[in-house]
Amino acid sequence: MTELDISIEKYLAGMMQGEELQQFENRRQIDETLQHRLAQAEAISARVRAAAREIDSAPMSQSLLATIEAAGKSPQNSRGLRNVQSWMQGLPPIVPRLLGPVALACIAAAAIVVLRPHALQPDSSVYVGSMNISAFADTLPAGVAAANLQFTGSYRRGDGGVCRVFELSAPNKQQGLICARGDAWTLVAMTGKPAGAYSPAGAQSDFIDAYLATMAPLSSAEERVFLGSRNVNTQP
Amino acid sequence: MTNQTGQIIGAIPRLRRFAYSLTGNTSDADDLVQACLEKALKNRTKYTDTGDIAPWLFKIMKNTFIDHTRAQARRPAFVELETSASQATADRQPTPEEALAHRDTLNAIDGLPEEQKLIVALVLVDGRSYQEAADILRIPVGTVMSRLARARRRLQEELQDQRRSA
Repeated sequence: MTELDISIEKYLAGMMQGEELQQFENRRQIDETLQHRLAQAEAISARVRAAAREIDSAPMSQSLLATIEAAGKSPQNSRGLRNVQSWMQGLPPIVPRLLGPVALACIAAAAIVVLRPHALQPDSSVYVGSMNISAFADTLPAGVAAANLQFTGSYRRGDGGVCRVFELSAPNKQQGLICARGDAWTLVAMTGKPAGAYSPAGAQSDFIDAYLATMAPLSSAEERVFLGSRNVNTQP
Repeated sequence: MTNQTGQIIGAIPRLRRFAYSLTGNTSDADDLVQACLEKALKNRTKYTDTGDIAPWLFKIMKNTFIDHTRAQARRPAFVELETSASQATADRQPTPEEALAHRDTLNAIDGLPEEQKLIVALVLVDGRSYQEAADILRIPVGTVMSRLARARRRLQEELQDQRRSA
């Protein structure tokens, strides 16, 4: 490797200054070999960048998608469990011994259902409170309100699956992300308070924003095609 | 979910490009991103800086990549064109000539030594400055420059050879 190689790297990185830069620029004006080497170096950079961007259009693996979605969901699940645990820790020490482990498990399970009302619904439907979000996700176009529910956008994931963002205006203003897996929908993330449980502001919406940035928005026409494909046997 | 989790997820497109330039195929790239993601999510509370989270993620990915390549025998450099073409779903598909050029480039990168491959991925693919690349790899800036110069020269020669043989 020559001194010229290093000079070229320094120049391309913008690390040359003052007299050194001036001398290099002067040489560049008259030295055809240097001009050629610079052009080659820049061409290699552009070619490498273009090749690496090829993956932007490739679908993500199912296991990577599952990891991303689990990142959005698991803290909320564990938060519900933590609330139950801390509630039990607040009881007098005699109570857990009197109730016994089986009874405590039943109370814990009941408390989780209260904190997450949709937790024990069938897997194929996603409920928030009493509202079956998944049924509306199959039928309701973005921008159209149904009671306190409105979808604000639809997005295509790298694997071709579709996710939809919804907002609930009552009882609390909440935003959620729901993704289709085959015929079923999965609630990936939800902002706001799930039935009184603590939720730090902004954390879930940060996740939703970040996840949406990895997907492509569907146009109205594409969304119509998607809803048409879902709307054969499903009514809200 | 913590703010770090949002930042980690938001960095995925850049992590995928980085991983793709290191592995040369989408399947291995996504495996590498997933491994990096799992480590980052597990250790996210250890990340306390308020700035760009990407350098921390690249460090994790670099270590994961090095561990992986040292643990397993190297895969052949050849990458099937058909795999890439069948996976592309973008609005603008690359032309066959572009797709071939990308394959050639990825094959050429795959032939680089590990140390040069990492520099190429950080500086040329992600656009990190030499200083940032030096910090991530824990090497002097001068070493970044010399490795990158060698990598460029080798890529140039490799791509010229491929053109001649074609």
